[in-house]
Amino acid sequence: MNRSLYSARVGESHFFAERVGYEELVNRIIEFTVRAAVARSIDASDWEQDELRRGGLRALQIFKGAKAVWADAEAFEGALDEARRERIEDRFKQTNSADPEFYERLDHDLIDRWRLAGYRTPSLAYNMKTLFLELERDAADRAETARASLVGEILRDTSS
Amino acid sequence: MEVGHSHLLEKAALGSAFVPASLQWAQLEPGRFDVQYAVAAAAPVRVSARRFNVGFTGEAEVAPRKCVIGIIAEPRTRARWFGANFDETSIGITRSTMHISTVGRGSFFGVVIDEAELHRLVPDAADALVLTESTREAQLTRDPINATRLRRLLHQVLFGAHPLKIVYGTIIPLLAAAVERRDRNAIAPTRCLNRRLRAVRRCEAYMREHVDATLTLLDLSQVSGMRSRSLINAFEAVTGYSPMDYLKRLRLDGVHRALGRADKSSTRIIDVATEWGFWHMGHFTSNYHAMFGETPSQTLLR
Repeated sequence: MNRSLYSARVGESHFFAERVGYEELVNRIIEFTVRAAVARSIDASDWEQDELRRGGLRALQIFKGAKAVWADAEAFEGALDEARRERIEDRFKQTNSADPEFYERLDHDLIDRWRLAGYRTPSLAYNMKTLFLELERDAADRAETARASLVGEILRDTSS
Repeated sequence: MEVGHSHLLEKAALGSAFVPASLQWAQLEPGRFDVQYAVAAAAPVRVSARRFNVGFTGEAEVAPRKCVIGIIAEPRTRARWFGANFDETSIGITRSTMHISTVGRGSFFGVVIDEAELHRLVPDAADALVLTESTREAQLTRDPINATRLRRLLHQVLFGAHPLKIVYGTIIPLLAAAVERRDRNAIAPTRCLNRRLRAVRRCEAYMREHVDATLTLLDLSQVSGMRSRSLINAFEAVTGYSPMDYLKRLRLDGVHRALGRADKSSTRIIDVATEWGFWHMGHFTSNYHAMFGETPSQTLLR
């Protein structure tokens, strides 16, 4: 069976998935999102994590095999025309492909997965602000509960 | 006096103030970078004004026997001089290096004093001695009174009816007064800022040397000798951007300038983008468009 392998990164350096199947790609995006939101809840998020929040799935650079997957078909056609003018059409097509449907499917599948986890979120295609807000709020609540529980535990242990 | 934008004016504005090979600058904000110059020169002083519409960062080594004095021309200008806030009350003085970054549109006056000419024309004047014996290190002085006077005078020189030859007798004493007051009003960079600035400059140099490589925060952290979180704080304090965001902007600016001076017939955009570390052409194209308001091919064909 010919299974497509995906790589994904944010920015030019931060790979969080390398040559993984589609299901694993979805898992990695969810993991990256959760880590980003938790980091943000304590004001310790990195630029790449903020990029995901600000840009949603469009902030992700996704590669299918060796090909960069373009979300914007119109921009892809423009770049392809340019490649034709430069007479490097074949080379361009070897490393690039337009697949807006892929991003739509990814968005749909991620929304489903988040719904199963109890988070209702609008489309994640252009930003993840609503989802981050929910996750950050939960992280803050959980931290507050953990702090209160720790104080109680220490007081219990130290009481004579 | 000339006003406008041309390479000749740019050259005249920079004059021989800086060592050409040391001059590094990059556009950091979205928009079409446009800079207008106005230049007036009469030995030993060269006055220039630069009005730019997009924030940038720049650094350079001052040429031997030159003294460079910078004053903000429009109060709305927001800038950092060696990482410290630089506003309309500030006068920046340097005889060694210059490091400046700006946010949004703004404008500066730059005054370059040729020390050899200064000594030849006003050999024994106390003002000349003050100017040429000022410290070699870059300084930032908060001097609202002299900054306002200088701004008014330089504006008259460049845009009014007063030729520089007539007023440089006024400019030199004013500059000398500003330099003299620097001891009392100088902002000595704190050790923290110095350390941050050193780390940022080391990273900047490393970024420029490794533009095509996959750089991570960890690499930059090792280069600077700072922990990741401290490095992020340092970059945000000095440049206003996080290290990886800054790197991305530096790379986009690099592509933009490379395409601007490339040979249309033999240059391939994909090659230039790859050379600057961009591998996902879809992202590169949209980021480039967002930054410069045009596609890479439009820049190339311009």
